[in-house]
Amino acid sequence: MEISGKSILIVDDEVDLCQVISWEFEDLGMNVYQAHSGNSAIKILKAEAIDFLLTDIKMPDGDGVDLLKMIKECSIDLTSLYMMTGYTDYSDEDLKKLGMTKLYRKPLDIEEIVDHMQAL
Amino acid sequence: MNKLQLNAQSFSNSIGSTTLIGFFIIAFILSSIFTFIDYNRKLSTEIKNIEKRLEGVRVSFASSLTNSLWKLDDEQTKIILESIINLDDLIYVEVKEKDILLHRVGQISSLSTKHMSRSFPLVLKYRDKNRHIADLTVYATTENVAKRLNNELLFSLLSEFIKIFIYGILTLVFIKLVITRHIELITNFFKRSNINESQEKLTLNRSFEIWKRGPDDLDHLVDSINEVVENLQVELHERKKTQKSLEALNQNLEIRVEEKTSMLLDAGRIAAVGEMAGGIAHEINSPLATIHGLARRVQKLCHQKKLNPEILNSHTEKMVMTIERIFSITNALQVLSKSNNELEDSIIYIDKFIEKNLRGIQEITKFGLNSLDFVLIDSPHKFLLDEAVLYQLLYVAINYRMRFFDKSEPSWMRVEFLVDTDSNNLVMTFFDNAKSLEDKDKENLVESFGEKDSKEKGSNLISSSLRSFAEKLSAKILFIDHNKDVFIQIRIPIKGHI
Repeated sequence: MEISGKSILIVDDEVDLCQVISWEFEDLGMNVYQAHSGNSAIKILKAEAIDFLLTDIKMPDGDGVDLLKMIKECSIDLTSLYMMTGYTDYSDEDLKKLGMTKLYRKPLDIEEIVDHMQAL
Repeated sequence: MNKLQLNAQSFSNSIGSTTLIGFFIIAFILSSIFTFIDYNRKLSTEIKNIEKRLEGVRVSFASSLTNSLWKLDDEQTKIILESIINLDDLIYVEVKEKDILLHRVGQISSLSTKHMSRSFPLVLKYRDKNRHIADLTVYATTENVAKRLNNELLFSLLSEFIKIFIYGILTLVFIKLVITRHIELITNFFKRSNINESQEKLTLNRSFEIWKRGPDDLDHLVDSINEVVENLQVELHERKKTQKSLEALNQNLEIRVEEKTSMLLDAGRIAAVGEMAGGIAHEINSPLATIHGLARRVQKLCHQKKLNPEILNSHTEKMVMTIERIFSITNALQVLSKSNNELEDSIIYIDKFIEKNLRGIQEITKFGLNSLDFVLIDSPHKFLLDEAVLYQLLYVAINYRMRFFDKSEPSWMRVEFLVDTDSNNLVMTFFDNAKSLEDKDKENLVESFGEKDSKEKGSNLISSSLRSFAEKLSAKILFIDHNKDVFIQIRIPIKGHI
């Protein structure tokens, strides 16, 4: 899949990390949106046509798992739903049941994510 | 089986002596009463006999005496009067005519009151006319009767006493042989018996009791005693066995409780540390990922020859800030990782303590608390305490309280630090979302951090860890639990404020 021109939402409470990841996807010609909590992310998802989502799991105000549940509840259609974490108690299997496509560990290898997007 | 021998008992202490004395007294009293009754009966009979004799004088002698007086036959008169006083107990007789003494026989003491008298008129029938000639007076004494009866009484009492004494001794010997010696044997059996040891059975020697035909009350008593002793020994043996097993069980339980307590404390520390480690892993990974991303970005821009000093400066500044964040976390970790059992007191400047540690605790509690603040109430703020343990206690207390927060609501916590110079305590008070907790409740703090609250909250691991750290500093945890609203105050004795 050609990802240039596609849109991606990056969700992380770490503002600097969010920015660094955004630059990488912007370099690939994607439309990048940023959010720093689950609650603000769901507002963007409802307002914009988003193809990909990359979200952190642990966040103070509405974490990544809550965000997954809300996406499912609101039937928001996404091409892929990626998650990233430094540490989580959730298993890969549980997260996939909630609709996650793939889980990435921090620090992120952006090329790996891009490869997965292009392989779709 | 050996028969128990009867021990010699002093007579004075035996039941036999009491029985004998009692028997003597009662028998003697009863015997005396009956003897005196008999004495009185006999005395009365004797008096009546005297009266009869006096009356008999009139019948037997009045006529002949009247004739002899009429004939002035003094000789005959004297013979008749002597015949009268020869009668038993009669001592004196006199004949008077109008107060003139005509004849008298015998003697009478005027002082003696122990006599009876009777007067009869002597009347002669002459030419169909009754002529009063004189008066006959007869005196009888009761002294002889009294003497005789007194002698009889003394003899009777003496013989009764001897009879009673002999009966008593015989009764005592019989009672001693048949009952008392067995009772003494039974008493000795109980005195010598030790219920804790097996012992010979109680047996009575009754071989000489030839009149005995079959088991009697004493035999039944001995059988019952033996049965009771045997049952008691069995019961005691069973109780000892049960006690031993209970002691063993108790010892085992104590060991297990100690092990479990130790495990619980360890588990509490591990759980607290584990939970913290998860948060820390995430918190360190995120800034690391940021630094990693920024470094790669710099590298990429460099390769593309798009790196200018402004971008480089901006990126490196972010990297430095992020690294500083990591340092604050690792500093907190260093303090938390200290596990010395010995306290190492050092001078703590409470304002610097807050400044140094607030950021680290904020970082590692970020996902449970939206807002955390430390406030120093104006007070002396230098004192001696183990800083690492104080930090650990503070951290675990915050963690403990965070467990009760409703996660759907934003949460905040403010910890007030105050050095109470009156009690020489560092007081840490935790104010938080417990909105419904009224101020008056907070004044009624209780020292309660027992099993109930920790069980109900399912947080016994953290609470045991909190207790453990509190014990290290001899701190008192005051506590109010209103459903979800928990208010904690920790009072830590300080070595002295400076």
